Amino acid sequence: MSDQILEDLFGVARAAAPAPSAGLMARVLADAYEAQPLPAPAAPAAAVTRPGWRLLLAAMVDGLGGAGAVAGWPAAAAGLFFGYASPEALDWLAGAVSPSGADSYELLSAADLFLTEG
Amino acid sequence: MPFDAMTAVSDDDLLALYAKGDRLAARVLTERLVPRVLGYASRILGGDRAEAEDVAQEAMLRLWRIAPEWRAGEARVSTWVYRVVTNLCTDRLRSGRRRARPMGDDLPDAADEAPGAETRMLDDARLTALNAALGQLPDRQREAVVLRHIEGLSNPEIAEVLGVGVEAVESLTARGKRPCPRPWRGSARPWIRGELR
Repeated sequence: MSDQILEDLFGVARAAAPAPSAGLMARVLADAYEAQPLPAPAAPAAAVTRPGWRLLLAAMVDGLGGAGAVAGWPAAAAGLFFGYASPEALDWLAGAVSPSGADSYELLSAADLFLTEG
Repeated sequence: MPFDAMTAVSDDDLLALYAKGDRLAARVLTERLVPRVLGYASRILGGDRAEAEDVAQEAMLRLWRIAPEWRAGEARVSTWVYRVVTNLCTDRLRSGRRRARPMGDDLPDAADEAPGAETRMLDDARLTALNAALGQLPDRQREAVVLRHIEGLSNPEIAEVLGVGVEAVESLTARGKRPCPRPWRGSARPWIRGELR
């Protein structure tokens, strides 16, 4: 058999390559999906960069009810202070709301009363 | 990435995308590799279509499983799959697990493109003779001849698939195609030579 005849045979074989059935393609693809690794989830950036002391602080804040609860603490502390402090200790605060040098105030002056009775 | 754009991506890159969870990459690799490995397995197994499909599916499954550990540049994906197919076919031929089927029983149906009934019959007869002749060659020679002359691989690629040197591949293909070797001599009938035309 000459090389030409052999080459013709190989040419026929190349042209007649068996086409895969739809069933085979489906089975191969199903295997592929089953064996496929899941995409890696994106790691939270804060967990990677936060130093140790910030982790501890965050854990404490979380344990006390979260950042929203802790934010109310300064106001609560001020309320406790005003409740327990003696009035004398708050003179500086009274001075801030009353004019300096005034000893008494007349809410209804005698002159006004005469004018209204007509 | 759309399917059409994926067709230009290399096998290596597709396998890396697959390993990262890209389902489209799996589809493109399947459509690219399965026809080739099925054709090769079919020739090595003497035209047994069902057996060749089993081998093709198993070879592709091994590719999917090795994808996460695949190191690009160490081997070509296509030659790696051909090697797996070669080994699977060798195992089946040696273990005698093949179903009893006449060679050429599952030749492809090319009715749509057949120029005529006579030509088709002639081609079928040639393919049957080719499969019969290939079946009589020693395993390594048959694999080398099919990879070289039907699958169109280069000698270095065949060397990678068979795990031998390039010189050994040249020797195998030369012996497999030697003018009128015993297997081919028996097939040199008038219809093989096209004398029925």
